Amino acid sequence: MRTAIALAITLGAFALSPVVAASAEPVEPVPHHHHHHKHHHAVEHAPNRVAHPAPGVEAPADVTPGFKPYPPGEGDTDGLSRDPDDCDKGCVGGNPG
Amino acid sequence: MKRLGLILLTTVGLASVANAQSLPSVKGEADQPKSCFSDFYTYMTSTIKDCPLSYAGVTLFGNIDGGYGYESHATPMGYSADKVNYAIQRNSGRGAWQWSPNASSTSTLGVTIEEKIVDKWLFIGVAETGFNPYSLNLINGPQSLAYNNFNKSANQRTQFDSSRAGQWDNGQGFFGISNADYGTLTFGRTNTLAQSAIGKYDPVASVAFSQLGFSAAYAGFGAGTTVRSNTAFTYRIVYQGVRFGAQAQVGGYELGNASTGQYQFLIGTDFGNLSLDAIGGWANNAVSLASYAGGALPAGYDPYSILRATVHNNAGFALMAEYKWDQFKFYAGYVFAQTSNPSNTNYPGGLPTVISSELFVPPGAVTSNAYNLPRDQNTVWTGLKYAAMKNLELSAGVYWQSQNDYLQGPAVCTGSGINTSSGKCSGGRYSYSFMVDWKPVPRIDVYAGVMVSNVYGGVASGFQYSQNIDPTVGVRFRF
Repeated sequence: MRTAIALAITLGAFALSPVVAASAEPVEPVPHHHHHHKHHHAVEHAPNRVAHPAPGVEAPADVTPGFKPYPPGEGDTDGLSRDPDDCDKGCVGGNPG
Repeated sequence: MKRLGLILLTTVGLASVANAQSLPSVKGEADQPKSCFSDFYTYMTSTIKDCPLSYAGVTLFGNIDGGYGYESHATPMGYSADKVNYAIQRNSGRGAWQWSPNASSTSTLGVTIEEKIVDKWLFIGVAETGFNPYSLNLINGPQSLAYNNFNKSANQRTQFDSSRAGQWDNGQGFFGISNADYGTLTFGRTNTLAQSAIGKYDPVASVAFSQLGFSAAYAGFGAGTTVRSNTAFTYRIVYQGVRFGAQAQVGGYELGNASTGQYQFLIGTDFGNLSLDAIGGWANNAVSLASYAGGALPAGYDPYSILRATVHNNAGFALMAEYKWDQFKFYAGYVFAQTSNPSNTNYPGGLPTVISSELFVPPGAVTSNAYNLPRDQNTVWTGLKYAAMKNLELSAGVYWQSQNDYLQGPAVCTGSGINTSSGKCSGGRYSYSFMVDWKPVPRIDVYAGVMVSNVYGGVASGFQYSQNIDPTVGVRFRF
């Protein structure tokens, strides 16, 4: 059984290798985690700043009728998000599943 | 319901007295920033992301989820249970209208902490507990089983074999460090990687309307108790657009775990509008708990403090995909789970401390040879979500799980449906699900849905009925 699991993971890794290779090429710098910091530190450091969600990051039903994916490197990644779309990176808050 | 209303009013009241100068703001009509706590309407129309109850890096958060619905084959709600039988269960009886808690998601109260250490390094943590919003009891699945020790199926209340055992952190309770470049490392009571991720790929992600959300056994690769490890190290990182995760449990039953060791790994990515995740894992000597259900109880024990147990090894993997196109999201997933006899088959002293310190499995009540032939379960699902309006979402899904015939000879399977001769015969569970979710304001979900759940073959063996239909409406408030 463990062999089967290792095989599945390996196949998954192979399937993703083109993505890794492609994304390893030079690209525009991505503001890694910036949405996350904006959200969590707005209380302490910017009480009077208008809180705008980063484009494409907010939960879809809250802002737009369309669904947009996270740009690479964005979205909460520390496991404390309450957005179900972040749950493959860890999440809190009683999301079902 | 009065208690639920009191919680809602208290929460909103606390929010409204918060210091406006030190709290987050939203844009006013004249483009003047104002506190999102300045008035009730402004608070309710802000999102939980833009206006959390935070101070100095500590955030209080919660969900309160209550509803009402009909079960075509119902069971009275258990005193320690978190829900009614939205899906058909062995103890599902005659139809009834019922107060229906946690239909959309589990009611939760929790605290997160996030403090900057240096540069990009953060100290993080969470403690969260799930509860029944009607009884206000903390969710205690094992206790819900023990309360049925005197009752045969037809006279039982709802019961669930769960990792939530009344703990103050029955959801999660972990701490760790996080760095935007080097990832996040945590330790403590943590959802397994599969338990956390599977909700993202569930088209009708909910408790009442999703086969995957109703039972943790899918994410647990055959056991609902192992979807949380009490003492797990978890490492996650997103590198060059690829997600990696690894999780290892240290310690066993003595530390409140439902297994003596559990390991999971995750790899995934977002490729354009396509999200993919693959997760594999296994658990050694995992424990599934059961009620005595009217059977003979051993003498000398408090009858509400003991349970029966089956110990087994379980392993499996999940492959899941989501594709976003305009106002649609399409989902597909597959889970393979294999359950086999445990590595340790000798339990002369029973299981003194498994999951809960207040319940135990006495000597002689542990079964360790239930899977002389391994049970293989295959689960597939597909479905979609459609954002009809900016605050209205429709979703539908189909779920199907099947199991092999693992009945050891010379016994053979006979009969069909609820009259199938053994639970080890081939069979399965499938369901059709629909849900409408309307957000009149971002913090409130008003939802309605239905799941038509069915069992057949060995999975239906001993059931009173083979189908349940659960039209339910509800409201969820989040803060």
